[in-house]
Amino acid sequence: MERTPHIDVRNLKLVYKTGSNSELTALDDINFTLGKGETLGIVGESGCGKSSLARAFLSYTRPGARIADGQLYVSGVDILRLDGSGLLKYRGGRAALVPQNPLSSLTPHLTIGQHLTELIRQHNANGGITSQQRALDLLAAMELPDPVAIYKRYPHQLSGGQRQRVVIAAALVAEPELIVLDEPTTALDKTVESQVLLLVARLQKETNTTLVYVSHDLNVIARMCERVLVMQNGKVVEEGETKSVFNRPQTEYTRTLIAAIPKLQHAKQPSPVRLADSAPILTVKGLDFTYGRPKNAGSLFNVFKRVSPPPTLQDISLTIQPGSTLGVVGESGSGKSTLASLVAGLVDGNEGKITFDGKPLSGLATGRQRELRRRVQMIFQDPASSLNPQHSVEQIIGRPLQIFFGMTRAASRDRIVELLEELDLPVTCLGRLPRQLSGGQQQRVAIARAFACKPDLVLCDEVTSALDVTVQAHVLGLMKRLQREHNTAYLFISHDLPVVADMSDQILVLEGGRIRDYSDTGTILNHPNSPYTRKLLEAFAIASGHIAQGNLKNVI
Amino acid sequence: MADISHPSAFPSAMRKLKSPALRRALSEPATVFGLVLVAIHLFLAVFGPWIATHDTSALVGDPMQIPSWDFLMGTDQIGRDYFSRIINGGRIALMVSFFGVSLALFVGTALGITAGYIGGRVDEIIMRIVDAMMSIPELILIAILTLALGKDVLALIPVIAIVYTWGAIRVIRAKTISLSMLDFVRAAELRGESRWAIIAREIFPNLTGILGVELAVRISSAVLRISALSFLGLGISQPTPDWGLMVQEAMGVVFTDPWFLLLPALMLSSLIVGVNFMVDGLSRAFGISSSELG
Amino acid sequence: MGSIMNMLGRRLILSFAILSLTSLIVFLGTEVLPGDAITATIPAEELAFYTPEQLADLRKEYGLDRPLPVRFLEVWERLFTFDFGTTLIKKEPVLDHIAHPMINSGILAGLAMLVMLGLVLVLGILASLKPGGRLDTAISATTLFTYSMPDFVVGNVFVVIFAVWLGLTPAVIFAPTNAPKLTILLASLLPVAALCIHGAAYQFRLLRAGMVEALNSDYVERARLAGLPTWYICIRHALPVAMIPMLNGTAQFVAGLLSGSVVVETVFKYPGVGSELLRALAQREIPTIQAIAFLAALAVVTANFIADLAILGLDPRVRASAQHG
Repeated sequence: MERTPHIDVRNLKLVYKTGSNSELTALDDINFTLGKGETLGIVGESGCGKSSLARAFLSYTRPGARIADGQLYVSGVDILRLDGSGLLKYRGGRAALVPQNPLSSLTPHLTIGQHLTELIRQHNANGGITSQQRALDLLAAMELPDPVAIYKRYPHQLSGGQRQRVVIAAALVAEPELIVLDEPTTALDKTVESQVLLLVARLQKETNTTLVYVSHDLNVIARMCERVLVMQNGKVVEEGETKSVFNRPQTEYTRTLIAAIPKLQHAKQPSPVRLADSAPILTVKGLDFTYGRPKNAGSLFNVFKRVSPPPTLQDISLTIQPGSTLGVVGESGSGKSTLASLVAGLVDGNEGKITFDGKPLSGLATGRQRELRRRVQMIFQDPASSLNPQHSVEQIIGRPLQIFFGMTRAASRDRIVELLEELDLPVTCLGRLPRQLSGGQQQRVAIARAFACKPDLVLCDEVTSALDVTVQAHVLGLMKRLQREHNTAYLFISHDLPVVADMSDQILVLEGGRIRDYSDTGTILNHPNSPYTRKLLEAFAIASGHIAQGNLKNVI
Repeated sequence: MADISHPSAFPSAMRKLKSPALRRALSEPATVFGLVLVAIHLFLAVFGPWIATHDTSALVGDPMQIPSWDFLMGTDQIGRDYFSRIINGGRIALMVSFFGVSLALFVGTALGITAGYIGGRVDEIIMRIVDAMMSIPELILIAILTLALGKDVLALIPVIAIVYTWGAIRVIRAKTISLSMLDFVRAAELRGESRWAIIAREIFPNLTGILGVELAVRISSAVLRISALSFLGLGISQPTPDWGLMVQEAMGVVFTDPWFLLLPALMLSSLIVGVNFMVDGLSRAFGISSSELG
Repeated sequence: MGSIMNMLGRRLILSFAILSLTSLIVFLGTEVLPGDAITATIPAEELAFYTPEQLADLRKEYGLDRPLPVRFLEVWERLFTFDFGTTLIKKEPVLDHIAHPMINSGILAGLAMLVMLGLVLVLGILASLKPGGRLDTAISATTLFTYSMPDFVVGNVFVVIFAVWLGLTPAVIFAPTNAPKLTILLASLLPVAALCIHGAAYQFRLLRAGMVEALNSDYVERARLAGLPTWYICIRHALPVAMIPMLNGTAQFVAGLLSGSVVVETVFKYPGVGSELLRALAQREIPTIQAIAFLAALAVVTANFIADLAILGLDPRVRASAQHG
């Protein structure tokens, strides 16, 4: 019995159709086996084919793709040859997939109960009780509070963590022997992720299910999986026990990947200007903010009033010294982006509570002096959104030069080239449109646009969240160098505590619009004040600790 | 998965095309079919008078003659050269549609951007007027306007413009709103660019694709409306040649000479089919989410 | 629930406002722009024989010397009470003229809409079972083709095929406007078919676009990966969401259908409101034109309101925003 592996992948090849006669290989010659009840992590950067591989376990390819070669045996049956009712019984019955984004993965017009009962009926999985009772039991097993209420709700009425638990419940309906999780917690806050991972680990242990966990996050893989598969460009570059792969990586790519992970430690060299010596460049004092009525309120036909929303920010005070970085960390809904918008002048209503270099920084940016607009710059999260798709790189970087320095097109050329070089961008980029650049290059163009203004303060709102981890490391390195060379201060906002710790001299922890902790980075990391900060640190530390200290003890 | 533009087995002539989107478009037979039809119609519209040399409204021979060298398709019920009338039967409608729709798009773009970018009460007022205008069936609206502005061919231009402005406002406004949500507009606001500069530099360049689609689709739709109007006796009137009018004339002789009816119908349909196939293919290839056709 | 009623109330008020604005537009178009109703009613060649005094008397007689807002309020009241007044010359009630044609046109448009909805749903589901497949390509190309066919061309081609070549039906319908409604129903078959060729294609394209988007969604992929059969996913998971773009286009669709039926009625000599409208336009019968335009707009606004209700039923997220907004 023990001789045949539970899962046996042989020479798997998957191709995407790219034209009438052309194909692109997304998975090439994949081979590995997995025993019953084992946990396997598949890790790699975007486009490495890990999502395609995840779906292949369910004998499924995305539209336009097909399995070109190979076999995939599950309990001795080549599931790639299944069709018709055999396939329907296999999917959701013997193998199940937990998708990445729980909100978009639940049908918006069906209740949670309808989602579960339709699967229970399809797979005859009620086990002697009514479908409804079975669904309620499953919800309870997911540690969801008040299953009866959840059962009646629609997906949009649940929180992110609740939705993810529902999606996991849906995968477990027929007690499958194989569960594939495709980035199941990427869309969740770190503290919520931590809870969901614990739940998955417990369920896996209880049922001895074989588990395949796909993620870009090495920390999560280290925490969840006994074995790991590192992928790059559709190929397996390294495979083995998680512990040995992460502690003694054999290939250059794995080493780069591990090195790129931000460690939860204070690595930043102190800024050249000593913190206490100079007057702060930015001061915020007792700032409260509540989003007012939306744009269309008070319209002609809006007869019925609306309830006023809860305050977004309460009593925020902070200072940033020239050339230093203040990191703001918080989860979704903490108000951290609103803070950046207020400083930048994208939203009105700071009522003079923000001062920049001794001068009040009030109202909307359009109402501020030009010099203030030049000295405070902002870099946005998604370069695909912050760069105009119709403008060339030259136009994008050149525009602030024209506006703030009155340069002509010809004069600005040299300066643009200089900025490109500072950001490791080739001069050939000049005439390119954003869509002709990679995501990392796009974000570097956005950074160049900010630094073209010679700013004193740059607001960075989740600037690396959309990037792969190796690209992120590169961009963060560039940003540190620019800061040193130009003595620029950063207000660095992110949900990712290790990234913030890596970048910042001081850290401010926001939760629900209030400051929970505010101190220098070393203190925050080692002696956090508030329980919330400790919880946050724990959520990040559990996993990071494994890799950083080579101390792998699985939670499972 | 990221990069799916690797042409490997395209014909060499196609590989020379720089734009991969254009190459994609031209690899679809339906799109090429549409482009060819549109090219033929444009050619006829421009060079029609040199191809068919007879005066379209003059009585040049006996009625209902069979085709001959002189009259390639014979003559109609009152003795006009049928070939000349078929060739030139779309020119007036096309011309009126072109100017009318261009005017509509000009006004529609201005108001649509205003409503979408400025928002607030201005938006509310503009959109309620749009709702009201668009709840009157087009044909009835055109009929009322021709009553008001007269049936002259030149008067049809403002009529078409008025009728087509509202749909244009809606499309441009929707696109403007989705563009204004993007961060490059925020970045421009932070630079302190004026509203006018943001509209002209940041938003408008992103509307050109959709404006192209709108222009083509709405011109074809306007040609359709004008010929329907002529068919009903409300649009272009005798003796100007017009396909809609010719269909109406032919209804009397449909039992003996159905071709008098089918030929202008075929000309009209081929123009509309051509435009719609062309736009459908091009907008898909260039990734422009074409607004609802029509 | 109360807030949903609030929202419905707001939609009703809005519909009412839109209709009022519509009647203003019609009023301006018919009574103000061409000078006034008197000069519009009297043919140009006869107008020369009237002295200014006679014209002024006529204006007084018809109440046209009163200020515009007063006259508009009068027209507005007439329209919203379905009174419609009397014809200008003969002083007969407008309603008597248009009641039967209106009902006949209602039968035609209603039937066309039912047939179309059925056709569109069936075609939409068939095409989306395998997007990009042979069936989908065939249906999509055919509908793009028929969508490009002008309705009067389709109508006339039907006449040529069914009446001239096949001899199956009479070329035109010889039924009086007040004929029994069953006769009308039978007579409407060819016109309905002609309307559907064009209109169903438009609706199909909206539905298919919605279906393609829904079928590419994460929730459909999850349902597939959970082992649910394709037909079930199409109907239960994709269709309700996919219908929303189509329902959002209802106003435009119904307006287009009414435009089309005026044309098709003329082709088949169908005893509907189309010929009544053309006669009114020729005779410059302004109260009749106003009544027909108003009733058409009423139909469009009503259909749109029903479509909004349907969207509320289909999408709980819209219900939620109704509750908050």
